[in-house]
Amino acid sequence: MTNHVETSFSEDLYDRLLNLYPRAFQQQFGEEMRFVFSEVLREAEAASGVWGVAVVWRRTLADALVSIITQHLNDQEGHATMKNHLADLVMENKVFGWIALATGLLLLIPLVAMQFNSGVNWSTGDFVVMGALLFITGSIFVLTARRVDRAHWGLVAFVVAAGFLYLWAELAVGVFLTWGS
Amino acid sequence: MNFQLSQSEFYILLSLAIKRRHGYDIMKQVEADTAGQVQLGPGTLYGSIKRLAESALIEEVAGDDRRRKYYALTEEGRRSLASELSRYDDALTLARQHDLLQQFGLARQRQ
Repeated sequence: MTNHVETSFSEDLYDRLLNLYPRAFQQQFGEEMRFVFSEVLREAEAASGVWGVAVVWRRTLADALVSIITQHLNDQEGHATMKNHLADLVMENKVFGWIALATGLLLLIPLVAMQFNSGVNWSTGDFVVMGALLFITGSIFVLTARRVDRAHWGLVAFVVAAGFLYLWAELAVGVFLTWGS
Repeated sequence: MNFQLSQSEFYILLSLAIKRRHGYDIMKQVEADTAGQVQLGPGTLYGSIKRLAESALIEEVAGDDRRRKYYALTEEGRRSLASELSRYDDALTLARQHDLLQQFGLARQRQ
């Protein structure tokens, strides 16, 4: 029963991931991709339980990250559609839910990496700080973007991303201050 | 033929040269053919299928299971795969002539 819950949670999460592909691509292949993901997931779960599910997610996230970007770059129409979707989404409060989801997905990367690579060793505090940093960064972008013209969103994203990277570097190793370990 | 096949696309064409397949079947066949070295995720798999279909190297065909989409090689796809295999064959012949397989420790594995 527990395994079934994990599988359907994974399938729900994958559905959300599919929404990030260009709409035309989703319409053409979304159902098939979900089908394939479900079969891979069930097979891995039957063979290795929760560990198998974790391995599938590690591969799926890497695959999705590359293929979502590739499909958007390949699809000019999809690119325009994504920009419109993003613009609409920024104005709605549910965008904070998406930021939280994206934060959770990004935190899965070190969490899964820790299982395979002893060089990655994050404490609970590291996850909390990075989670807060990611969520706050996303929220600052949204709140700022709502107040400026869309033509300047790229600049806002650049400044916010630069601020995020600076804070990350400062917390990790220290740049000008002594926050780093 | 200017279409440059990626590694994933090459193995997808190879799997479809044997018979028509649906996505999951292609994925499993590629994994088996490469001894697990090439593991296609759904995004890469269907991204490749899209590109191959747009280039008319594969086409959607009817299959046993109506819930799934099946794909098969087109004549253009067969020509493209044959050309790619011929290129590999030429390279392998050349490597054998210069004893490169032995030099790189590949001779025993390939025999």
